[in-house]
Amino acid sequence: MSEPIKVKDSIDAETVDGVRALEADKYKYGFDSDIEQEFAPKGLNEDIVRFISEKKEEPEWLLEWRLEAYRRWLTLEEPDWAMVDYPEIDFQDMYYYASPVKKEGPKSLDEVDPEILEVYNKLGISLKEQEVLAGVEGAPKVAVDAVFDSVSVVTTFKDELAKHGVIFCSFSEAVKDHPDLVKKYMGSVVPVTDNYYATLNNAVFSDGSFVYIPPGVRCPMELSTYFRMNAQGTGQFERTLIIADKGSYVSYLEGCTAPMRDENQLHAAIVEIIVHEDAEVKYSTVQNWWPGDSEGNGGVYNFVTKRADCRGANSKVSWTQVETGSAVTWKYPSCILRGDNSQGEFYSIAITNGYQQADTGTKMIHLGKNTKSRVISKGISAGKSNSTYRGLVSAHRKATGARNFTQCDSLLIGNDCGAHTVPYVESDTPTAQFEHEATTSKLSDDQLFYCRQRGLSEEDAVALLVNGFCREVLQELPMEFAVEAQKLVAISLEGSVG
Amino acid sequence: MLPSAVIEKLPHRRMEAWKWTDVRRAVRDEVSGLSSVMTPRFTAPDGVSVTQGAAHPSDHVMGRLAQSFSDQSWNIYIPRGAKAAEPVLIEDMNRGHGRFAVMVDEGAEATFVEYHKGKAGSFANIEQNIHLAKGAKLIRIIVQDDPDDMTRIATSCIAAAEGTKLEQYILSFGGALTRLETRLYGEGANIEAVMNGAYLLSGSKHTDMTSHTELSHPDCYIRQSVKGVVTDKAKAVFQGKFLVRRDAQHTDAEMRHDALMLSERAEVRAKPELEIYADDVACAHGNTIGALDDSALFYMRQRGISLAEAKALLTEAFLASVFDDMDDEDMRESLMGQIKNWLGASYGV
Repeated sequence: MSEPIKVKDSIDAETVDGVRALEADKYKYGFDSDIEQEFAPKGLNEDIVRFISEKKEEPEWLLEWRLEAYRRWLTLEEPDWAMVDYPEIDFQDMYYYASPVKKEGPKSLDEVDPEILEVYNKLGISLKEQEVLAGVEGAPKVAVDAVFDSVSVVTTFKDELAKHGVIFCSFSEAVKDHPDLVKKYMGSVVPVTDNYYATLNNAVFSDGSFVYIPPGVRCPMELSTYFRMNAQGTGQFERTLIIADKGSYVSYLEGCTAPMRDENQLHAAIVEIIVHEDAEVKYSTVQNWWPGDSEGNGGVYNFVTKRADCRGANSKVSWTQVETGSAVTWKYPSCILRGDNSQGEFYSIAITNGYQQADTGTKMIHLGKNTKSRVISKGISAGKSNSTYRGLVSAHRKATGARNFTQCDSLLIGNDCGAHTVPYVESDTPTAQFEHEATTSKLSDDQLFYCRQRGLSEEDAVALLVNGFCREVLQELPMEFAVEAQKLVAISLEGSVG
Repeated sequence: MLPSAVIEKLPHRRMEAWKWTDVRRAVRDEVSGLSSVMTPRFTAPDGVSVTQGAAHPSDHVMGRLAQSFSDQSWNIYIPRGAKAAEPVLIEDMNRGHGRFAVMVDEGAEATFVEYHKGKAGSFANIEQNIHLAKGAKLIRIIVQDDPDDMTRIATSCIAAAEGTKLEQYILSFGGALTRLETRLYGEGANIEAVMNGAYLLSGSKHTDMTSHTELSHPDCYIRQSVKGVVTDKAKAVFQGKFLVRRDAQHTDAEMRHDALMLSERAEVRAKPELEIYADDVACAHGNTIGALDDSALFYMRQRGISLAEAKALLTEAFLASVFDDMDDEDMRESLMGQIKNWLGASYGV
């Protein structure tokens, strides 16, 4: 049990408590579930790739896709530029496929293994359709695609969504039922060659979600995918593809947890989002993978590539993430602002504790005319952790009128952690306006004055404004899975640095 | 060493610290100064000695390259307690590899003025090791204006002991490829440093202002403001890093970079970095890139000022703050004069 840490006076006690509540020994999702599972043989080679493709009954073109990616991956070297340090990964020492035995593909709720349902129950994920359809007061209406290790076990509300033309199913199912859509969009935002882990994902991706919203449709409910790693010694490589056709809207939530294990587990996912003219996608993540114990043993390696392509004019993507888990995080949800007037937003709170390491941020690439982006990133480091914000804001020569506002702040709790910022800004047009600020103390003078004029002391006014701001970011998140996010509402960023 | 062997040792864009300033690509085999030793000219006031002696081994890429051409450095020594009346001038750093070592002894004060104005088509590599002993104060003024086909890399490593003061002002007009790098290592508490710079780039010039400030003792105060203007097809790079180690509590450090882009083909690259391990510190950085404010321009034109003049005035005001804190009025006037000339020529006033 940790002894009291010396924390500087200006930091709110509630903040320190809130962050300590996320410490490893309080991780509530670390339970193990004894579900009968079937595994591919350990290790990685072309046979394993074929095994995975066969298990999923994939068409020839997808098997070829995987094999090409695998062969390319063999020629690549793992990058080492991130501010993270971890022991070399033995890619042969893990299983690349594990799935619950009684399954053959997503089924209706009554056919799902009750033991699996129990797992999700314990995690607080509602897979019940009935209550909601019956209009029960307060029942959450969120469609869920539950992914257990490498396999999607069930996707709720498919029928109701289908009435609106919305396709929400597992990626594997989409390959079978909507191959044209998959072929058209897969790899068009994150090419197979993009980076080391993306290439690996293209070879061994397991499952994930597929979403298609037809033109003009506002998706009637929130869609979410909940990833649960269970089997020991496996890597999880999901693949999610979201397509928002002209004038459509969808809000999507991703949640993830994993059991406590002594060894590290690799999670290398790809999320691709395509947004057409006048459409909008809101993507929220509450990432709570097992962070490793308080001595730094075990924990998930979260190396993901997430990117949105704002293809059409006036398209918009908003990334909101609350990152509290994972031993090592390496991810930069990004926006390619291709369409004229397109907008990208990135709101992030990353909290690291224990021996966690996070190197995360975003890339906003301005290509079209009059594009806008907004980056608000808050990092809180505690324990012996290190948290880095790494971001890129760039404007191509033809990106006239590009606008960016970036604010990244860091808070250190205690003197054994580190908080770092590495922002890259590249402008090739004189009509772009890029502003980057990294200081919390710079609150709006007008707002401060307003509060003080109403009788609040300066300290209270600052606390009110900072807290209000923080809550605003957190309230971007739909609350269904966000138990941890609720606790974070109390956190203040007084005494922050950067 | 053959020119090609020298070029092989030059930093290139696959090295993170040089990703926007690829020296290897910029230098041709036949460039003058690639394999020779620099012959600078010094003007030192009484009490300041300039000698040649054995140089310390270098720990950075361009310093190691200079080392392979000369194991000697120009050593400038300001004795304990000395307060030199006149500045030390360093000129004629036209081409070749030059190694300098400066020691400002305890309680001494000195001003250095460096004029970096090279020869057409040349290559200059300067390594400076500056040591500020306890309580020393150093003012450095660096004016760089090279021909547009010249490559210059100047790296200054400054080790600052307890209670030292550093004021550094850089005015750069660029060259084919110019890199002015300052590495400040705090080796004691209560250091005060102001490191400001301004760049004005036209044609196809390129200036890279890189700095790395590393603090490991408490109560240091750092202010850095770099502002610049880029026009035509010129390119500006700013890389600033504050590394605040665990024991550097109560650090108060601010870094700002602001760039004005005046043309369609101009390019600006910025990376204001923070690496912080101490929790009780105040560190901030800001970066803005944009164009002149339309409403301010309109206001001035409405008052009868021509567009060209209005642009020049606004740009001058934008850059002036960099040199505001300079005590030496004459020097400040001189620098602002050079800025005004450039602006006049650029805006056609």
